[in-house]
Amino acid sequence: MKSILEIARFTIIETLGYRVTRVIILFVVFLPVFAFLFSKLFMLEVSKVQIDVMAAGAYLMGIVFILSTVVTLLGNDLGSKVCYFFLTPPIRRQDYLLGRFFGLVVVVTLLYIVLLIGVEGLVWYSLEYEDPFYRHGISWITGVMVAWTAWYQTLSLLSVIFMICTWASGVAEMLVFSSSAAFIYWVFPAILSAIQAKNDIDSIVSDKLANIIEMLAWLLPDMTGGSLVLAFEHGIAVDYQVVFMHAAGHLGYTIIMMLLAFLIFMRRDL
Amino acid sequence: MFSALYAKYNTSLIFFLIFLVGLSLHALGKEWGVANIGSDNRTYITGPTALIVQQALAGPCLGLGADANILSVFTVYAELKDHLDLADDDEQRLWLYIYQHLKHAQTFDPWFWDINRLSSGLLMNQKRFQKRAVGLLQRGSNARTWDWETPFVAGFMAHDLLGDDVLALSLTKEASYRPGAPSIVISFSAKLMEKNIGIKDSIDFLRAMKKLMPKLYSDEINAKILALEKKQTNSY
Repeated sequence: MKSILEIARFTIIETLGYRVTRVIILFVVFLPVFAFLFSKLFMLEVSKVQIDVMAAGAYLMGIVFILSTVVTLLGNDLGSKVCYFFLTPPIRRQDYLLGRFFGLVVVVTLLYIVLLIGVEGLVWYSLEYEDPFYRHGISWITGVMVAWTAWYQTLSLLSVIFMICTWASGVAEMLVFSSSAAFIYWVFPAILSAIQAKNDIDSIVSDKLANIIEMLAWLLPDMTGGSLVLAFEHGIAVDYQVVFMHAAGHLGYTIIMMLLAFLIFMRRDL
Repeated sequence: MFSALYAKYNTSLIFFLIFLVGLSLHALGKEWGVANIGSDNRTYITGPTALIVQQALAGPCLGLGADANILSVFTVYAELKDHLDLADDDEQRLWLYIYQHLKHAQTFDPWFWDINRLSSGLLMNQKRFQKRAVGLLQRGSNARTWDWETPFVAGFMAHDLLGDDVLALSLTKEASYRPGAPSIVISFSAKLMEKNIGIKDSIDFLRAMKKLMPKLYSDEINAKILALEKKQTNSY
């Protein structure tokens, strides 16, 4: 346990030292300002537009952090064999992987706490100074939902990237596969929910293809936290069981991916 | 050739000449690129990207997908206002783009109020799009269950512009039952009902509304019931 915590602590210090992490923090700090200015282009529900920008920023931040920082970190560790420094007795391989994972979870959480402060700042401004006409449905819980859904969805993606990096051979390979995974995560659930909603694409996608897409969707976590955020933005009553189960599904997916990562990493030829 | 020039002349002179070429091209592009678009009565704005592509690009950012479409509505509308001498087919094409952007925005975020206001505000004066605007408002009204304004405006448009009183009645009746609906909504529904179904149903509707609405409206509704009853007696 002590070694896991030690590696986690080292990972936090190492990751926060990266210039790209600091740029991401800067991005998150200035995002509310951008969201505020952007919302002034709209007529009525300006507060909702501010939250939209923050939600988009939250999702993008997670993906950019994973692709730029996490892949580089694991690429150096496993591709360039830096992990030899850690993998000396009594530290076992699973301690190393778990330490790295927990360290990155802490950093991701820190990023989302900074984001949460920004969103809640905007919510506070809306509640305090905006006419109720322009902020229908916005409440303190809206800001929490933005950071919360994006946080656990980013953790799911983080676990997938860990799984990929345990078998990919170097930074280049890790980056290609991780980017592909992030792309699929971004695009696929949106298309799937469009198919399920029986939208205008009925004529484009045949029934067979739709079935195949739905089967493939089982391989991915449910990345539709955006619709939850949207509902909270408009003050729609969402069953808290739905909110809880969405997060629980992601937790389950993260556990499965990390188990796979362990199994592969234990057998990996280093 | 370049090395010979380089050897003969000063490096900074060659750099300056290249800079001048770049600057000229930049200036030409600025002048001609913009001037050509505005000089004739054609528009070069293209329609919205297919919905499925937009959904794939937006990913989980549904709200921002709707916002982007609303911004596109503003862009297309600005093009319509900037070029008053547009060819008729181009103008119709731009109105179609506005409708499509609004429809896409509504698919992303069916609760977004700006879509409904823009649908009624922009499309109600376009004869070819009035029916579609009412359709957008109907969809918006189904999503925004707390809002009386959207079904009322849709009902008013259906009555006034489409002449479809059956649709208008169902929409305004729906608006009457929504929270905070003002008395004008109830009286408009009652008037439509009187005209299309009969005085008796209109009185029944007003009595039902009297029970549902705050006491503030009671006097107004009573006056309307009395007037209708008088009318009913006279008609016998």
